[in-house]
Amino acid sequence: MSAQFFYPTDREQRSEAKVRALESLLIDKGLVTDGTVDKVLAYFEHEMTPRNGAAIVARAWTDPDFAARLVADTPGAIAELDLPEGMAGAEGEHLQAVANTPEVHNLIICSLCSCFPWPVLGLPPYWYKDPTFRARAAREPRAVLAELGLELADDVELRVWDSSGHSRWFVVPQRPQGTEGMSEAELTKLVTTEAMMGIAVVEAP
Amino acid sequence: MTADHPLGPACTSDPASPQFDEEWQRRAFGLAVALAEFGYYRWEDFQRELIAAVAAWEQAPEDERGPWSYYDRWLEALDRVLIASGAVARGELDALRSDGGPLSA
Repeated sequence: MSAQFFYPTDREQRSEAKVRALESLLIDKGLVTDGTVDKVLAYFEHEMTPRNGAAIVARAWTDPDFAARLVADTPGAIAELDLPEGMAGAEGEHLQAVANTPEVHNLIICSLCSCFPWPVLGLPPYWYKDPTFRARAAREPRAVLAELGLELADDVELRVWDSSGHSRWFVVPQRPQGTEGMSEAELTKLVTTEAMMGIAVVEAP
Repeated sequence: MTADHPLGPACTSDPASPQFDEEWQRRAFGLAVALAEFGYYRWEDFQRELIAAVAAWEQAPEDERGPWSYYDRWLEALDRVLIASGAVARGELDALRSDGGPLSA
């Protein structure tokens, strides 16, 4: 029985067969229909993407009042923007923004298991769900950030936010210098998923 | 300070990169979300099962638990929440698995 674990390809095949059989059973029982899963996936892959988060951040950069509301009442502030419907559901109701400043850098982790803010950041990168990353980011966040290429100055305070069922954190990164003349739409293109997770900063163009 | 588990160069992400390594992972994700959306269970209940499945893997002896696979834990959680909510009977899932799988002995 345990021999299977040494053959990753076979494990993949088993898992694939398992999902296929489960979906067939659920269709037979009438719990889902043939196209249901595709529809849900299309929604996540095309609507629930980091573009939402980038639009929110760009608005915060250009509108200080919005930036303040975003931190105070994140779902309320997001509702002001013209973003895809359903931002409030699908994990969006517990969104909490934290803003980086010259003195404070924020990092989002989930030490339990990947409570990711899908509606603004899309689906998590695979390594975010890795137990090694989760454990180390909680234990030695500064070292982890350095390995990911982000060396924080010693006088910058690092705050680590552990996502849970009740709070899905995302970071409002600092607006890079030299972008004063840029429009909100142009700024949106600068914002990366990594910056909104706090594992990178937004680079000047 | 030396890290005991270095993250390595693979730990960077491209926002445009696919988030699923395999199509079955994508199907498993879509099924779990769809069933919660339709009200067969609460999303929080699925998450609790997922947290428990991940924790069980982390606490299992290394020579027994097999390599890490997030979406295998996801599937375990989906089985459990479907049984707990009464949407699917345990016997129905057992019947699926008894004759399936390329390696079943």
